[in-house]
Amino acid sequence: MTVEDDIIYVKNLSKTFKESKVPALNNISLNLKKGELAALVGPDGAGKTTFLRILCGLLKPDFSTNVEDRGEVLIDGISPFDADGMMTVKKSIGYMPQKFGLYEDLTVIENLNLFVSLNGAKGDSASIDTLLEFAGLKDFKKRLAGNLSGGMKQKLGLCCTLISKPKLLLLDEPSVGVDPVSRLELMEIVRKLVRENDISVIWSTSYLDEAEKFEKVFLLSEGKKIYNGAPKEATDKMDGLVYLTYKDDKEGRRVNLRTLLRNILRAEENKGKPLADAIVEGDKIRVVFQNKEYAQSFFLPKTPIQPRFEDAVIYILKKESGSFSNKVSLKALFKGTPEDFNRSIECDDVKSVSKERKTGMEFTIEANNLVKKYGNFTAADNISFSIKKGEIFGLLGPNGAGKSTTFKMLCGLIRPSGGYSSIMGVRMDENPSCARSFLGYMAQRFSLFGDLSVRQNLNFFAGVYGLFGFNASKRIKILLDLFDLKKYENEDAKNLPLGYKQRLALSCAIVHNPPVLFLDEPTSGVDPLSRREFWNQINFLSENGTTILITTHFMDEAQYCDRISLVFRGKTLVCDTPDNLKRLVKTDKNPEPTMEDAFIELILRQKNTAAFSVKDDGGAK
Amino acid sequence: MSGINLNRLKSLIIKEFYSVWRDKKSRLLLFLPPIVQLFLFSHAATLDIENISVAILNEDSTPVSREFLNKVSGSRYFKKIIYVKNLKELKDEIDTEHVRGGIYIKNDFTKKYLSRQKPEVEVILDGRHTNGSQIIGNYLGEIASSFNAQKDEVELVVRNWYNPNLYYHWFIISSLVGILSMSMVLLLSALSLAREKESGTFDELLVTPLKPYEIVAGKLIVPLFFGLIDAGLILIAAKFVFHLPMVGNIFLYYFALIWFLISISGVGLFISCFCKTQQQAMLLVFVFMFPAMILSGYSAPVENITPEFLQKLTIVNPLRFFLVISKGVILKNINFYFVLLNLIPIIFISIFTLFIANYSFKNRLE
Repeated sequence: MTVEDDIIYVKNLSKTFKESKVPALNNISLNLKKGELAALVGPDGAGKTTFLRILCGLLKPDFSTNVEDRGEVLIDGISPFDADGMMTVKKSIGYMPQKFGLYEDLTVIENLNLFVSLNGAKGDSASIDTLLEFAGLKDFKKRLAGNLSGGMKQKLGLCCTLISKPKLLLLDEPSVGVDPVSRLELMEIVRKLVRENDISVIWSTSYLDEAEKFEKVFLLSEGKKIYNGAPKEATDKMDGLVYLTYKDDKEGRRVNLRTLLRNILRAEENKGKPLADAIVEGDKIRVVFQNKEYAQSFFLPKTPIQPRFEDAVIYILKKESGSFSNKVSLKALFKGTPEDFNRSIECDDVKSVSKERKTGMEFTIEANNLVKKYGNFTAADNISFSIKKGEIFGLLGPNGAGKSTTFKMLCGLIRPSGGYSSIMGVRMDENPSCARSFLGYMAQRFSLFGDLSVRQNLNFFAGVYGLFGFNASKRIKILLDLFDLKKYENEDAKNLPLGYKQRLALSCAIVHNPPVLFLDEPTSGVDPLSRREFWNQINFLSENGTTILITTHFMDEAQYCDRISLVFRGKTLVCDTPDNLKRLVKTDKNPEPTMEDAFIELILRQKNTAAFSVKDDGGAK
Repeated sequence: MSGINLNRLKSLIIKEFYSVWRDKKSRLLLFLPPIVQLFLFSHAATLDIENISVAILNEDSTPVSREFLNKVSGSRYFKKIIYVKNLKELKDEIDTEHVRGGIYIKNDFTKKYLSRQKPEVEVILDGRHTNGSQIIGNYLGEIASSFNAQKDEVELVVRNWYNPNLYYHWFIISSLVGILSMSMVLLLSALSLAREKESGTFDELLVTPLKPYEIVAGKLIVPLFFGLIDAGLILIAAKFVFHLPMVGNIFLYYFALIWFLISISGVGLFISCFCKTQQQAMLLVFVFMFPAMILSGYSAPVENITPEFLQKLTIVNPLRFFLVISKGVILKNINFYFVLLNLIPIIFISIFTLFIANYSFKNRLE
């Protein structure tokens, strides 16, 4: 293997931003051969974007004064940081940033023409047509870019990037905001590019299930490269370590999964053989052992299953951190005694909410024929469901399908055009302030008051939910301890690491001990280990009777829910348990469908029926 | 609906206070700009014309004409005198803006003066600076009449009440208390909501049991607090640095100031209801602020504003009424009745803007 074969050759690359103490990239060495397709994987803040921007020469890395480990970046043998290397490298790279700058008020074809002239390339209409054909955008030439769906926007962005005929394509999280169906199409386009045009591609992503589909991955964590190679290789190493388990009680009923999960985690921890991973999957529990010996001595019946890349990544991350212990997750499980979770909420405005209604209520969240119309467009159409006390209910759907609209109507952020929602039996339209006092809310991107310290954030939320004085400080003390936030108590919320932001956002949402918790994409961008901890805490809350409504992009997370409602084009497509959803799409070809398979299949089925009706309309004209 | 939950409100106010106060940059922005502006406005933006340069073409070199010119160069207004030899040079000096005007004394000046005819001094001014030229003309007129007065004629004695020396900065600073505290309150209230929208915390606020009017109240009090502090700083500077008379009742003054700033923060909150970003909010703040300043009687008396309907428009401008109170209390101790006369419209406007802010808040939930 010589350097000449490498389109990317990086050695000892580091980068530390001025305003930060920790390096964004820490001594990275890797190479990509010509014609290869690789995924750059890592959670938000791992250094993916920094790495890509350095490759394009948009950021300057730290060059060490020490000659031996000086740091080197070569694109097709040329350094973008040499005096005249920049222009050559620029020509051979196509970079699609996370937010690609399409001109929303121009049509598809106008956008393309603009990028042709910006690039100074000779773009004849024939080659543009091939590109559009290639990306499946041929029928949308005259459509305004602003009116395209998320997936089509990314495809158009890709076309614009391809105009300059790059040798190396750098895609920064192209699948963010794109539904799984379009994501699949986008990936197919890129694969075709690699196959037919001999282009090398780096595709960055924070989804591990997406990374699994690549032949090669670079796994980044906190600026360090922790894995480099085929995902399959790493996954194969996990063979014999991953099992499904469950337990029936004496009468043959399935034991509460979340209680079981907690017991399993605790039991193995106490034995000194902490599990690498344990999660709810459908109606069973998926456990990952550190080694085969530990697996042998496990106390419950178990069936071996196919490991996933995510299992491997968690295994690697935990190994890297030096400990397999699930202490932080378990802390929540040990420390939070049921007494702390006695509901203490009183509605100051309404006396009509009787005690028994609060405690003995079966359905804590109800949606009754919710409709939301914007002009002619129906964002949510007749959505109804009832969520039981203690249930974890997932709202899933592609972008723009109406799941956020539904979510926001339920917590009173959007006024429905028809129907109503109620929380703990109090209708949101009749008594919003009271209904809201029952719910905890965690917004997307963990919106915290960045200029306030951790404690001040908690004080604020405690205060507005009616918790004061001794009660408030007692509760806040418990939370600071539970979420390991004590050390950051006086730190500005904006300076916290992402995982801690998530913890703080969750503690703010549950500071008043709400019977109902609303979580809007609570895990996006967070590293896998923090996600695990988070779900353990959610499980614990649910076990203690908190009802949880969650939206998520992660298909694997959908399996942790008790029930899922799949929303598409403003309507509820199906609403059932994860296992039942998977059963719906089971075929001979695919006897063990994943959650994502189910999602894609169910949406495609719906799309096909819809497509027929559209065609019929066209025929009538 | 029961009334305001004070504990909830308290938490919101504390949070609002911290989010302005804890950031070093925004803490600096609370006090530095008003102070800088105070000094800029009171010194640089003065309409007093001093340190004027003039060119002099004297074709009549006699002691008489020289005596007249001595009066010019001896005046505190004229600093630099350039003597030129002919009209062309004079024109050049004015064209290049080396001088603001020229004085041309013809060769028959002494002859006419001694023969008790009217001697003429031609004054050439730069019409490009309308206002300044007018004032220079007045100064020269004054000098000429005092030159005449040496002989016999009647002398006019002018006395300016409430600002005997016609210090322009007296007028400016008494207005600045209103204007600067207004801009502070307007910015703080308009940006605070927009900032929450940008960071996504606005939704969180709306999901809490806080009621719209509690949010309005909480969002109002912190800008109000800082507006009052800024106004206080300016008043202190006015008293001890600029030595304004400060003859009126300070409590009455603050009472009016509070109402005035409430009306302004109502406008700010109203603006921020419609803005998605801080940038938009900032733009709208300026869209409101400049007309409010121009139609307040600060830069030009309300009676001078044409067309007339613009004059009528000023009755919805709280600044217009407050400036009357401000100047009245600081410079001449106006009586309570007169303050009330101007305060009532302010109170009406603030009730109205708060109502609008509350309403748009409630209806922000589409």
